[in-house]
Formats: sequence, structure tokens, C-alpha cells
Amino acid sequence: MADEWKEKLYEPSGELIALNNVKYDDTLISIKDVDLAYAGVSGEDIKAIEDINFNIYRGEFVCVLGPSGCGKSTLLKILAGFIKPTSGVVELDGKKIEGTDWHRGVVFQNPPLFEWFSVRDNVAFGPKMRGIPKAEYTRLTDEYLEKVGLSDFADKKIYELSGGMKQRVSIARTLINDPEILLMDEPFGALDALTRENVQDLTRKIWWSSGKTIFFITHDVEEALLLGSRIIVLSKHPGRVIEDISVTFSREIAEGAGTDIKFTDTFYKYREKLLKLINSQ
Amino acid sequence: MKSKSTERKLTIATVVIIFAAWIAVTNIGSFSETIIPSPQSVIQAFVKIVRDGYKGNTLITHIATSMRRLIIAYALVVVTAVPLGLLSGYNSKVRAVLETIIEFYRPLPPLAYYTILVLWMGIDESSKLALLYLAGFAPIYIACVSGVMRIRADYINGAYTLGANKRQIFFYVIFPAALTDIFTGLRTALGVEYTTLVAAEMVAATAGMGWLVLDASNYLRSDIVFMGVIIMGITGILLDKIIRILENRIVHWKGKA
Amino acid sequence: MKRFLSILLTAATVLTLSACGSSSSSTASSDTAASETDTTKDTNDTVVIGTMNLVNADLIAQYEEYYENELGLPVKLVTFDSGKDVNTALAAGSVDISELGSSPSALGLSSGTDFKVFWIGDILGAAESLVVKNDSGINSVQDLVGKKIATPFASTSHYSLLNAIKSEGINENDVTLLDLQPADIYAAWQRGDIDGAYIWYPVLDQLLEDGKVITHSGELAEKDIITGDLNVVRTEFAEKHPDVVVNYVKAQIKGNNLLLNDSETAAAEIASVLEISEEDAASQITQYEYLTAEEQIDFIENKLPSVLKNTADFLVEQDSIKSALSLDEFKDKVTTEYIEEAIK
Repeated sequence: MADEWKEKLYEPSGELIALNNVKYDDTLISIKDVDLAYAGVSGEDIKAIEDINFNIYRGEFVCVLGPSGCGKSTLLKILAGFIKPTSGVVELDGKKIEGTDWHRGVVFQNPPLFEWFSVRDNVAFGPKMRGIPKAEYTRLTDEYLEKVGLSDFADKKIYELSGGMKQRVSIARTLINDPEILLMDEPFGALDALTRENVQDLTRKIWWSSGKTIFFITHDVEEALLLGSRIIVLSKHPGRVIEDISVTFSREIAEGAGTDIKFTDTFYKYREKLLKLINSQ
Repeated sequence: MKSKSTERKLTIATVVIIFAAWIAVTNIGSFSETIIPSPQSVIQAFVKIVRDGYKGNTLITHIATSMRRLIIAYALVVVTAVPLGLLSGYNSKVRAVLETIIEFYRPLPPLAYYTILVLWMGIDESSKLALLYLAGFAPIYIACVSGVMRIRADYINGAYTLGANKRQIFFYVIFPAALTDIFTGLRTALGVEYTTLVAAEMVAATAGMGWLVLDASNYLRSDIVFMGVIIMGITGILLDKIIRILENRIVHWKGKA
Repeated sequence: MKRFLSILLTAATVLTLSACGSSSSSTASSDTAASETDTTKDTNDTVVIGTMNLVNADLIAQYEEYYENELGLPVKLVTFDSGKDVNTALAAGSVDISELGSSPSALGLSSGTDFKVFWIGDILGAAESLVVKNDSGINSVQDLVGKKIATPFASTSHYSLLNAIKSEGINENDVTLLDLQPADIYAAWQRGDIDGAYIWYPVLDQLLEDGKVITHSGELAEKDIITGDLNVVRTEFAEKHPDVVVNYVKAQIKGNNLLLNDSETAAAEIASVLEISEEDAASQITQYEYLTAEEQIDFIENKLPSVLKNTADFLVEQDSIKSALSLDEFKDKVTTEYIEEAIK
């Protein structure tokens, strides 16, 4: 797949893939030969995803793009441990993933925040359940509320928050556990443009400053380009990896380039290519 | 706010119209006192019973006796049906066992099995409480089961990925998430128990509002029947109100998501 | 509000019944075309006969289908479980002629329902008895003090029990009286929750398996505490269809004759209607007193008003009803005219 448009990535610095802070010698998750099939109405096997093979390296911001119904979310659910692949293996640090645990934090599109708790108690939920001493998790809670800019809203009820704020709470309560990887399932799909940009910035900042690995599902090409250090495109029915590229826009923005980068020719070119790829499905 | 006051006016108007119709119908005189007693005679019956009691017990005793039965049975229902219902929603094996029993007896009219309860438990309080208990159990149980089953999988999955274990999920996620439904069940159960009260007090009761109404109807005392029914209606509304206030306090997020 | 209404509706059976009554009569009237100019709510084409399946001429009439064939109007037969229900139906105008116990009759009349007593189905003998457990240590009414005795309240048995207690000079509050329906009396007896009951067949027979009779309504009748089963007709209906009432009386007379002259056949017929054994039916018959037409006239004229008056006064004393009719008023509510017409 030596497409011309992809080659470009390697040129500006000459160093190729400028690394994006990614440690390519440190595999966090390896996905090997993963298939997932479910039984259809008449009993036949329907494949949701097929033959998925790739590694996620520590510090990567992987964005998975694909038309709706391509099995993006299925892949995320397998990584989270909500479902098991029909065949194939997923490993984290060389250990097979079986079931859920807090080392893989999930941010959902509709954040399932606990309405019966305050913002603070929602953020503190993880450490509290894990038996971390109160003094410690109180400190952590304040710290993470600060990080997502919700210190002033700590004692609010969930229903008093806007959609963007809810997603910030969701991010904070996942991050507070210091998971190995953050799995985000179209987290900003339901937000308005302005709010969306806002939480995208926050997410990028967190990625860049903490070096956290992020696996991010989206159907929005621009979002993937603005956030990811790597973009994986899945085909439709069944989902197969049809493209896997590295990009540097997010890093560049994080380093101070500003979001105007999306008006550059390069960005435009990438966007067109990816759109074409997805629409050809 | 404005619409709320309109509704309030409508409620008051409804009550006023019913009263006016009642007074009108009875004063035209086309019905005998047995069929529709006049408001005056219902009030007279009330005054007399407040003063002299009814068949050996004061009105307060009658009300208190019924309330005691109702509240004891209700409390027993709440402490058993809620946990069992939640557990059934959470664990399909528990559900398989309990749901069969409940689905079987739930549609039965209480009177159909009351005699059996009397045979087993005697004519004293225990059979009355058991009847009220059974009446109230099903609605709360069913509300709890469906409350749990309706919880979005994301809530539970989310809690797992945050590090909660099964037990913690039950107490911190499932129980609170089902509270809205639990309260619906609590209110339905109160209503069902209330309507069962008359049946419960059919057997060997000497006090209680249900018995009072039954006994008065034996003697065609429609004035007392009306009075009893009105008192039961008002106390029923008050009890329901109490649960609603509790609901608004506890499930403060209801309808605000 | 919704619940309030539902309770209101459930409890106020009076209203429901009256609604049923008027709806059924309106469907009936649609059959009789537009010739009906009369404004009374009665329709002329059916008579609703109430029965409580009491062991008397009524059952013979049912067996012989006298009602269907000899009343002169189409008949709808309705079975009632208690006098209370008959009273409610009478008040609502949804039954025209019915059997009704003497206690409920006295209370129905005193409550202002307009009906007339025109026939005496039976006078209660041993059919209603005070039965106690063999091991209860009770040997007379005197021994009831401190014991638990059950009876269906507002029934003739209830009336007899209260009077039996009163006639022995016992304070009613010294005996624990429980309001239980027959089936529940059996259950409570089985469990040993009660020491005795004043009750009728078939529960009475079941209790006698390990119980004994202390007194019965026949004995009480000798002390002028008379209970019986009466036949009543709504005044409005009687005025409109005196002939139907007369035909009804004729049917009762035929039934009574069979009971008095050929009790074996009578027992067989009663057994067939009630689906019980002939022995049971035969023993039932002995527990009632049946009056010939001539005896009826004498009883209705001379005794019945005071029986009703005593009963009503007693209910007032019990604080069950507001007031009783006067003796003269009761005299107005009983009539021999239909019997006299029937035996002409």
C-alpha cells in the first residue's frame, strides 16, 4: 500500500513518522487473528469483524474509522473484555484479556454516569471500589476534577451538567484509575460542534501530557485526523483493516500549531483520501 | 408554574362538582337513602361514630387497626420483595425459581386463596397480614425485576471497568438504578394492599375500616359505608402522598436525565 | 384519585347493582317496541325471582319448573348467597320476588326498602344450631362466657345467637363473637381457632362430626325468638302483577304439600336440585317447620308483625340500624291477600 498520499507523511522531517511520542518497541496490546461472529435470525453465522491483526504501542492515540456497521464498537468491546472474540487472541502486556478490569478504562458515547451520586462521587467511584484509602482518593478526585476543569462543579448533580461536562466527568472517572489504556467509543458523537472541539482539545492534552495510550472509535474523519497519532480504517461487513497510517496533526497541535492546521493542504489531502476510502465501502 | 395552578384548579373543580352532584341528586329525592345517602346523613354518621364509635370500637381504633395491618404487611413486603426482586433481575436462576410462583398466584383474586390462608394460619392477625403481604409482594417484586432488567448494560459494564466487583455493583449501581422502578412498585403495591384490606377484614375481624364498611353494608347502612369509603379514600391518598414525597427526596434525579 | 374512585366503586356495590338493574331493564324494553308509554322503570315482560336455595317449597318449585311454566311471565331465576345481597338487589329494584331471612327482612323494611312479606317458606328448627366442640367444656349457653363463637353477622343465625346469649342473662361482651362466613367457620373450627359456631347446613353437619348442639333455632322459637325464611315481593311489582304473585304462591303451596305429605319424593327432588344425597335432604327437611296455607294466614296476621318488630328492635339495640318500623307499619308490610287469592 505504497500510496502516494501516505508517503508524504514521511517527508517533512525526513525522520519519517516523527514518532508522535510512541514507543514502538513497547507493545501494549496485541490483536492476533481476531474474528467475531454472531448468530443471525435464521441461525447462520454473521461475521462482525474478521481477521484483525495489529499491535497497539504504548503512548499511541489510535483512532479507528469506519462506516457505521463496520464493527468498530465490536472491536472496542473485545478490547474492554465485554465480549470474547470467536477466534483469535487479544493480549495486554503479553497476557490474554479475559473479562473486564480497571486497567482498561472505557468512555462510552452516552456516559453511563451514576445519577444517584454527585459529580465528585462519580469521579471517586473507581478508587473507592478498589479500596483505596479515603484520603488518597479524595486527593485524586480533586486532582482529576481539576484536570477536566470541573472543580467548581464537584458537588453538582449529574442532571445539572451539560453533555460536554458529562463527558468530562466520564473521562475523569476513567483516568483516575490510571488505566493502561483508555478505550473511547465515539465519545463525542452526540455533542455540538463547539463543545466537541473543547473536549477534543482536552483529550489531546491529556494524551500528550500523560503519555496515556488511547483507543478511540469515531466515524468522523476530521476528528480522527485532529486527535490520532495513528488511524486505522475498517471496511464494512465484516470489518477488516483496510488502512493503517500514522499522522502527526495531533502532535503538532499539541505542540502549539493550533487547530488551523486543518486548513492546510496536507490535512485536506488526508481528509479527502480517507473520506474516499470510507465512502468506497 | 402556571399550568400547575391550572391543574390544581381542575382537581378542586372536580371534587366540587362531584360534591355538588351528590347534594343535588340526593336532595331531588329520587333515590332512597340506601342507594345514595345524602351528604348530611353521611356527615351525621361520621359525627355519631366519632362520638360513640362503631360496634364497640372508636373510629380512631378502626382506622388504627387497619393502618397497623397495612403498615406491618407493607413493611414485610418492602424488606423481602425489594431484595428478592433485585436479585431476580440480577440472577436469572433466582428469577427462574421465584417468577414461576409469583406469576402463578398474582392473577388469583385474594378471596380465592384466603380460605386456604385461614386454614393454615388461623383467623387471627397472621392470615390477614399474609393476605395483604401476598397482595403487595407481586407488584414490588415485578417492578424490581423489570427495574434491574431495564438498566443499560453500559452502567454495569462501566462499573466493572472502573474496578467494582459484583457485590459493589449490586449495591452501588443496580439498587440505585432500579430505584425509580422500585418506587413505582411501592406505590402500586400500596394501592393493591389497600383494595385487599376489605377482603382481609372479611374474616373474623371486629375492628378495621374494611370490616366497618362490610358490617355496615350487611345492615344496608349506606351512610356508614359512604363515610368509611371516603375515609379510606382520603387515607389512601395521604399514604400515597407520603411515598411520593419519599420518592422525590430519594430519587431526586427522576425525570431529569 | 384513580384509586379513590376504584375503592368507591368497589365498596358501593349498591350503586353498581342499581346500574346493572337499570341497564338490564333497558335492554329488555327495547324488545317491547314503542307501545310502552309507561314511565315506570319496570318492564312488563320478565319477573326476576331470587332464591337462596333454602330447603323449602322453593326448591320443589325449581325442580318441577313451576316458575318457568306457571307464573304467566318469562322468568329469570337469580341465586343469592346471603340476605344482604337480596336486600341490596331489592333496594336497587333488580329482583322482584325473593326468599329472604326474617332478620334481613326486618332490616330491609326498616331501612326503607318497599317490599311486602306474603309467604313463609319455613320456620327454622334445628336447621340453624349452636354447635360447640365436644372437648370445649361447653354444655349450655351459660358456659359460653369467655369462649369464641363464630357466626355470619347480620344473618338469622347471628340474631338467634345474640338472643340466646341475652335470654340467659349473659352480657354479650363476655362472649367473643366472630364474624365468619360458613367456609371460614369450617376452617377456623378445624384449626381450633373457635370453640363453637351458630351455623346452618352443610357446615353444620361437618362441625357435628366432632361437635354437639347446645341449642337451636327451634328451641329458641319456643321462647318467642322466632326466625324463618320469608318470601317477599317488591311493592311496586306486586301492584302491577298481583297475578304473578298469586301464581308464585300457588307454586309454593304445591311444593309445601309435597313436603308435608310425601317427604320422600320431596327429599329426592331437593337432593337433585342441591346435588346432595337424599339422606341429607331428608334430614334437612326435618329441621324446618313448614306451614300450610291456612296456618300461614294465621301466622302472618297474628305473629309475623311482632316477629319482625322484635327483630328490628333488636337490631336497633345492637346499633346496627338507625331505627325500626313500628308494629303498625310492619303490619302494613305483611299481607295474606295473595295466599287467600291462591286458595280460593
